[in-house]
Amino acid sequence: MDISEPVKEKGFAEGQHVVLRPVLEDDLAALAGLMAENPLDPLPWTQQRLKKKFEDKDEPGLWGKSSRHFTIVRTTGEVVGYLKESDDSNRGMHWNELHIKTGLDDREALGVDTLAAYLAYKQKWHNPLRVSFDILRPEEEKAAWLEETGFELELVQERVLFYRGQPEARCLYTWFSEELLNAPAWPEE
Amino acid sequence: MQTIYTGGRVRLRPFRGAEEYTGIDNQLMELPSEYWGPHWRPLGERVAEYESTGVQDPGTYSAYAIERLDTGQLIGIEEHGSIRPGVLWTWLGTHLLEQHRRQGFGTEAKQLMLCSLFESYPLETVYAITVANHEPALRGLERSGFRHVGEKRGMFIARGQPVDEIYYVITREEWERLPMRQHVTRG
Repeated sequence: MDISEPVKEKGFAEGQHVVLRPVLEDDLAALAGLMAENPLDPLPWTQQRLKKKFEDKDEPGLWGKSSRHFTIVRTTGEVVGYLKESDDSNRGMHWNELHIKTGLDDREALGVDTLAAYLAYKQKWHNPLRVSFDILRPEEEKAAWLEETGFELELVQERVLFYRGQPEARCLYTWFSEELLNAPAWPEE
Repeated sequence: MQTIYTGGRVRLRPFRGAEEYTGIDNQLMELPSEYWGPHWRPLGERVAEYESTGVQDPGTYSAYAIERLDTGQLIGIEEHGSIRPGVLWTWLGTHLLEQHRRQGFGTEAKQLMLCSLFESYPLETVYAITVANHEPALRGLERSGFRHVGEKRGMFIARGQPVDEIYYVITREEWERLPMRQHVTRG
């Protein structure tokens, strides 16, 4: 092994630039800042609050039965974002939140790479019927990443959150499986 | 202080005790919905829920008794979701015993719930969600002042097949224009 080479991160989902892996305690300081940036979360996250959640006895490691957090890291190790994945009680339905650190020069490339890697991971291991991401309407960059990776705007819920003093809409972008797209309408005509 | 909302035909009030709450909940769960399918929660879980909050916890979930004014009967449950700082919306839902449906009680219960929500909290919108094939619910929401905003495709599985979830909304401004607001008794 050439020890001059940087260690390449491994994760559940691997893209060209990033990998997604479960949250480690060392990630918490960076993640608290990233969560506080995410306009979908109306409450400010602090490292202390996040550590308490990380140590929760029912869902340790921000990895619960119904929702799980992934840290998004560059292949070289820098924490650049997070993805929160939630499941429905019905099979194959997942909805998520994603945030990539603002101000990065390559934020768009990281966002697109994250979404493509995550979707490939879900298709490889979980046979999803539908995968959705919520964003706030002003997050135009995220909307563009989602559209580029095959997600469609499905539902706009107007005036659901305050953002910079204004009531804003939450937009749901969804990727649909062929199984769902080809399913007969119910009840069948 | 708890405000009781009374319309022309029904009243929304807190439950008088765990027995009343679980009693009506049991009756409703014995009637598996043709649209939503069977639901069940163990009695112990529901008693604990009542004893913890009286099912009046705006931070998580609240439920009210729907009482007919003409007979005094408890005929259903009106419920709403969490209300949190910075979040401008919540949802509501109505569950009526079969023999009291299709008589306008549900429509009025929803409108009373809207009065309670918009008058008590700084909400901008209230949403209601049903399934695509649930025609009575779709009609009831429109009669209550809600308007259709969209669907989530295949979000619910009924009889083995995906069914769309249908989203309805009413904004604060739209609620302010509802004539029934002038005919509600509060207190």
